[in-house]
Amino acid sequence: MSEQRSGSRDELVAHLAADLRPVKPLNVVRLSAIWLAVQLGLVFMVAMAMPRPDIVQAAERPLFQGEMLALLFGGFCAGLLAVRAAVPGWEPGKTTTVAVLALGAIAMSLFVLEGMMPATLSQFVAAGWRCSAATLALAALPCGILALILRGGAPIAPVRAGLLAAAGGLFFAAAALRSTCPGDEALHLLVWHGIPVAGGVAVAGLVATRVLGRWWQRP
Amino acid sequence: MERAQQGDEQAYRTLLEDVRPAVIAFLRRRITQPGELEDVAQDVLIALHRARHTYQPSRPFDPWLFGIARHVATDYVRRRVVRARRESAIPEGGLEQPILGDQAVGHDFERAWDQLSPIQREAVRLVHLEGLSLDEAAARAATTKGALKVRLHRALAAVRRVLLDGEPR
Repeated sequence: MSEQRSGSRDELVAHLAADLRPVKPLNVVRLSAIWLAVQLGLVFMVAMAMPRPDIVQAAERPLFQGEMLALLFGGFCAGLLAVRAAVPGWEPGKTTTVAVLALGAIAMSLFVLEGMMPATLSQFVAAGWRCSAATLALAALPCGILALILRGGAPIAPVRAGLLAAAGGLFFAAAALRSTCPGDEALHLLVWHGIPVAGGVAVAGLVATRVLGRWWQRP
Repeated sequence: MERAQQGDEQAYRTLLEDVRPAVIAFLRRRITQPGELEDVAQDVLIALHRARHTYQPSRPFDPWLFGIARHVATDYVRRRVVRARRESAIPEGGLEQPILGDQAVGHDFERAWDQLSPIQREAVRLVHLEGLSLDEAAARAATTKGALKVRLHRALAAVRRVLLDGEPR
């Protein structure tokens, strides 16, 4: 039996050695830079093209500053850590992942502190659904880039990688929307800005194992 | 590993042979069935091969290697649990009855079948019972053609031993 095993083991080693081709090491710095350039470019473009009319006054409010800071810093960290998750042994730990996602949760809790303004359901929906759609649309490209980087790597913590990749794109998208949407009402922000972010991150966590998990068995 | 990334076949062969004992020792704590240890170790080598471009020369090798080994072992254990649940849901003899007419052979075959690991059973089922090609079966089992061949070879050797010699492994 051991002879048989050593035979198949030698066969496998010979097969893998014969299959060896030169490869370029995954350039984490370059890939991070590409993602960040696209991400910042997109946010800058949106913020410059359609700024909210009261952007100067809004930027002076500590609550708004806190929300933007949490989203931008959280998105920045999440994206960079997601790229690192493509390299075995360099993936961010659970605590780090939770800490980064907590920045998004902080932004959501700051939304709650914004004032409430009564509105009818139809007004609420009409004013809000576009914010959700725009958040998801804005996050699609950066999240797609991070997903491609992860698919091209070897993520050994696929759920964490998926959560961080989604958070990277969605936090930045939420920050961009915050700078264009004039709505400062707590319920509007929570439902139409917060839920797409939280939902997107949760869905990414759920599908990550299937999409990123068994990379060594892909054809 | 850097030389392997540059395509040095001899360095790569040496590396694979050198890391194998460490991988086996690492897996021994996670894979309790000795018969399956070798299969998982081979999966780790395949994973190492597929992930070789992700090794960062500026970073230490061990966390990279054992990160891969841990992931492959965890995935293996998870799949084994899922398969065991699925198989326990199949009525006893449900798969063998229609295929085997002779009761004595059927009994021996059942005994041989019991000796196989879940992944070996899956390989036999896909290729010899469902008649899939090796490529199709490898895709269905979410593994490589090489690894599937190894599983089949071992499975058939074990079945042959029981049927011909009446001895389990």
